[in-house]
Amino acid sequence: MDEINIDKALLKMKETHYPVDYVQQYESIMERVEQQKRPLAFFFQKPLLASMSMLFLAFGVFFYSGATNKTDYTGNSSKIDTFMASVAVIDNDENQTEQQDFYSSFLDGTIE
Amino acid sequence: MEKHFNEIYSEHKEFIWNITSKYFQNKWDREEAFQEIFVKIHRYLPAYKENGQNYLKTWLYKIAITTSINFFKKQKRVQMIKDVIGFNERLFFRDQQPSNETTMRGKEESVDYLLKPLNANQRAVIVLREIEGLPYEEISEIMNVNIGTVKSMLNRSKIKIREYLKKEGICNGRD
Repeated sequence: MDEINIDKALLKMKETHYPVDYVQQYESIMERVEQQKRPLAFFFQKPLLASMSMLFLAFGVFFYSGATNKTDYTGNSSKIDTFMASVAVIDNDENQTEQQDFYSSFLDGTIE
Repeated sequence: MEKHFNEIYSEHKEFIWNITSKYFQNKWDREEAFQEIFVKIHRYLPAYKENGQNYLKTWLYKIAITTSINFFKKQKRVQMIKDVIGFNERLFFRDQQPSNETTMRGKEESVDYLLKPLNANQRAVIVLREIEGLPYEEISEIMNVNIGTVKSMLNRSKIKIREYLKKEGICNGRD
């Protein structure tokens, strides 16, 4: 088998010219430069894609926060659980007070 | 600023295209990399302090080579993901794929496949040394490695090309 001459092949590669439209390339470059100056342009050019990505991101954040807001190993509940529990306590307190007022008024005879 | 950029584009577009067209095999990659390079030149031009024409060219070489290397690595990662998920381009772009026969005939005639077995840095060394004809010192400055490393990378790249050509049975560079 003949020895392969790499230098000759590389020389051939060097001499090979690939055609290109420099004017069209310049226009594309300037378009990209303009896009970089206006980062929000993406939202206006592709609103559907942009809103879909935002929705996807929002779902991601929602599920991630849900996944991390679990009761930890020490038995302490997370912020959301603590908040919900405190709301429930307040609710119960209010209900109990209202009910007690109602019964006391009923027993006093002010309400028939 | 725009004026300076336009001057750089009109004066240096050919040599930048020469680098990208040799570095990448397909037309889409070549054009994408070419545009990306000039977008970066436009972005970093205000920070660039001009120190003479020679320095400007080295700076342009640095941007061109770094961008090409990064673009090549990114394309490789995309290809890896495509391979993992089993994405077959032929199913989507059936009409644009050349027939097998054309591809084989093209291999004999063109030299596009020469850099195929090389990694990003090896391609850069071959393009800078063999295509652009730069001295080792300048290549080492552009690639931020020492001259010995440049020489060994060049040597290893040629061995890799030779092995690839033997394996594929391509006789283009034969004496």
